[in-house]
Amino acid sequence: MESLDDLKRWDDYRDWMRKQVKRVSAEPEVFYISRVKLDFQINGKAWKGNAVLLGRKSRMLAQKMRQEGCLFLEGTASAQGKILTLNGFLEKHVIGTERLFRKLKLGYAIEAGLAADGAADPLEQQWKARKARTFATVEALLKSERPDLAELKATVRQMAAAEREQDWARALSLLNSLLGFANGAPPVTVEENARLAALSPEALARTDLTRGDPKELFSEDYMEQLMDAPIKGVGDPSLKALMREVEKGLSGARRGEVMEALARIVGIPPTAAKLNVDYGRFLVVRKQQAVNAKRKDEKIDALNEEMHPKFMASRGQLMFGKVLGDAFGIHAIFAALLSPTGGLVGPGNWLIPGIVQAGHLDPDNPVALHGTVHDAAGYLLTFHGEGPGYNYRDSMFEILGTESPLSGQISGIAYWVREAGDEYLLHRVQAAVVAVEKKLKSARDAVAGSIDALLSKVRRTKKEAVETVSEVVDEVEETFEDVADAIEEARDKVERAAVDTFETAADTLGEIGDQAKRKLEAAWDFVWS
Amino acid sequence: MASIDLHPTELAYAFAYSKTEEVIGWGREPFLPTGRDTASGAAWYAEGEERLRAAERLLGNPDTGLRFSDAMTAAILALANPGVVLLAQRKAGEGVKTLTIHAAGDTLVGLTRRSDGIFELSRYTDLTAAAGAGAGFVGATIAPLDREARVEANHQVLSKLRQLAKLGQTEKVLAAIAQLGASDTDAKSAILALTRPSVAGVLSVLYCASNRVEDAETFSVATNAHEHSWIVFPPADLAGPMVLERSSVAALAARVAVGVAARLGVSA
Repeated sequence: MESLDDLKRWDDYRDWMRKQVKRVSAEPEVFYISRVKLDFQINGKAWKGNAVLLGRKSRMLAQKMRQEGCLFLEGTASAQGKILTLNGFLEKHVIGTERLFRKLKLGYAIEAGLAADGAADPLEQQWKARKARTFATVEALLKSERPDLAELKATVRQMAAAEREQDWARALSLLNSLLGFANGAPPVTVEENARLAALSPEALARTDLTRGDPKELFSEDYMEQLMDAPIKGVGDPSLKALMREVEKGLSGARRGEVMEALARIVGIPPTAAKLNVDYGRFLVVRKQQAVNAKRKDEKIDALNEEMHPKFMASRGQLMFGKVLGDAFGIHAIFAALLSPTGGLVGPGNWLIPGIVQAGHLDPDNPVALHGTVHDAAGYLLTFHGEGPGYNYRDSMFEILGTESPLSGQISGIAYWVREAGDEYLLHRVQAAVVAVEKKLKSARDAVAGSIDALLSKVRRTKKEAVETVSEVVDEVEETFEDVADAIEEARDKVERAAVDTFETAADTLGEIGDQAKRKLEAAWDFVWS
Repeated sequence: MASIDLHPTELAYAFAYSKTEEVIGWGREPFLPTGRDTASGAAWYAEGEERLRAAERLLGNPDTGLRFSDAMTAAILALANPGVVLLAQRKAGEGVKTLTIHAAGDTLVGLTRRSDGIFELSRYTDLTAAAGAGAGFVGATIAPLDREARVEANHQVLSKLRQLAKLGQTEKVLAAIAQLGASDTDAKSAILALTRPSVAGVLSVLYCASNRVEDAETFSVATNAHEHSWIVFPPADLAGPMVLERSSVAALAARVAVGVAARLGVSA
């Protein structure tokens, strides 16, 4: 067995499994369960269930199938006679394996060993939290009188189905799409597409075609979700051919045929009809892209398939498509074609243009994923004037630390910030900022006091350590607090640091807001002028 | 708090994948080969990949897909897309020595460059440690504050007073600072620090989004021969008040850490 297609051939898969499971011994070995249920055909009858991988080549296979869009959870399995014990999986996945083994008729009983760390799948937790947070918004949408209410209700039904199937990634993706309805952007319907297509280029350029809040698209939550997002059709040769056709443009009866063919690969859902509506919106978005490209003298790079033969319909390309698709409310296969090189990662394409080579990096690696999202953000801003905006508060609370001298002061700080009101956080109103700066004195004094105490303790301990090393080593370990350590280390670093000219150093901040730049220049003046 | 050494090729390789065009506080030059032709560029990245794999910062194999180690991944993402950067610039003659600390999520990584071009990367456990490192790097005195001293004026006034002091009009400046509320001793200490510092630098807190600096809080730091540190900073924007304040490594670290905590909205 070498691919996802092989795995889906039920008889072959059963034969392969029969051989692999016999080799499992009492020693735990790696075992993989698909994160979501797959579609199998058993004697001409459809069956949906989890797939598993085991044996010598399972790691490589899991990696390969991940590239094909099927994600696997890793744990271990050990056998005692005909009892297979699974460790490191959630109960639902063990149950899924039990169902599969019953279907495969291998004669093995499945037993749950140690559960996975944590009570629930992180995606499940994310889904539940997000669902709770957005409940009121979704409810209001369902009560609204919108022209696209039918589409909206269909999405809610799909979301409910995904929840029942515990397909959290899909449920989250659908919820994102639903929230897109809430921002007032034009609904993706045949009628709306026709209206938008009739707009003058100038009017279309001014129309916001994005559906979700771009801030949501570039959040940590979204990035995490993207990493696990199931993407159908990855690497499928037929999908590649169809995407090439879509890129060139479709008309007449062929348009319907292509949609039907696409639905067979990436659906259902979505249906061919839904894909057809998405294609209509894709044409509108591409028209807006062309208007802005002309205005800004920008161009979309074509994909050189000779140089990158595997990129069309790859996971990297479709992940890029998913980000843009979530932004415009259209399917990833169309969105990917808005910028066919989007998500193409490889050494050199940014720092030294022209050296793009076949990337070795797994497209799901967060570093590569960052590159993909970076591409999407750049594309949105350049061709559609939509950006992620300034959201510095997003996911930054962790840096405050829980063990630091600051942690004890948090409630005091919080009090004064609350007193200053929302304006302080949102706009940093001058008077509020100055007032809060003064009110925070006690918090600063307490933190400074803690640091001074630590520094003095460290210095004392160091001195004693010279005299009685063995006795105080343990104490040094315990008391060498991170803050004092960081200060000492930074002072040491000064000696080793390279010296740059002031002009060079002043030119290293990249893009910077005007007010921030003026403040920095004023601060530098006090030292370097 | 161990540092790891990173060759610029290693960072260039990672940044190529994260599509990072510039690193705040460093720009792009330190990560590039001297020759910019395709051949030298390709060799540069190949060297980066080899070094990363040898150091086990890049795992797996090229056929089935490579991945960065978790620690390297977190560091690169923080460098590529920080929420906050502490930029510590220390005066060295007329030049500058730099330490940047990039914060994203729960990751805080510090970066300095040695004169041989190698980067030293450190990790900090929390914001206070990072602020302490920044304050230590710009040379704020380690001695605890023996007394508080603070005067408020505005940018124009403090700039003018510093210029006059540098021109030798000390008496005039002493009188002006005393008028603003400082004692004679403190005024003399401040003038000495601002005009003839033994160590000086700027510690800036840069608030960022999409690898762009959106806003900054700056602290000019000057320490005189008596180990008295003074900082100059605008609590809000440049048009508002400008504060001249006695400080120390602990006081400055606390000021930065508490300020960032407030700014990030701990009440949220």
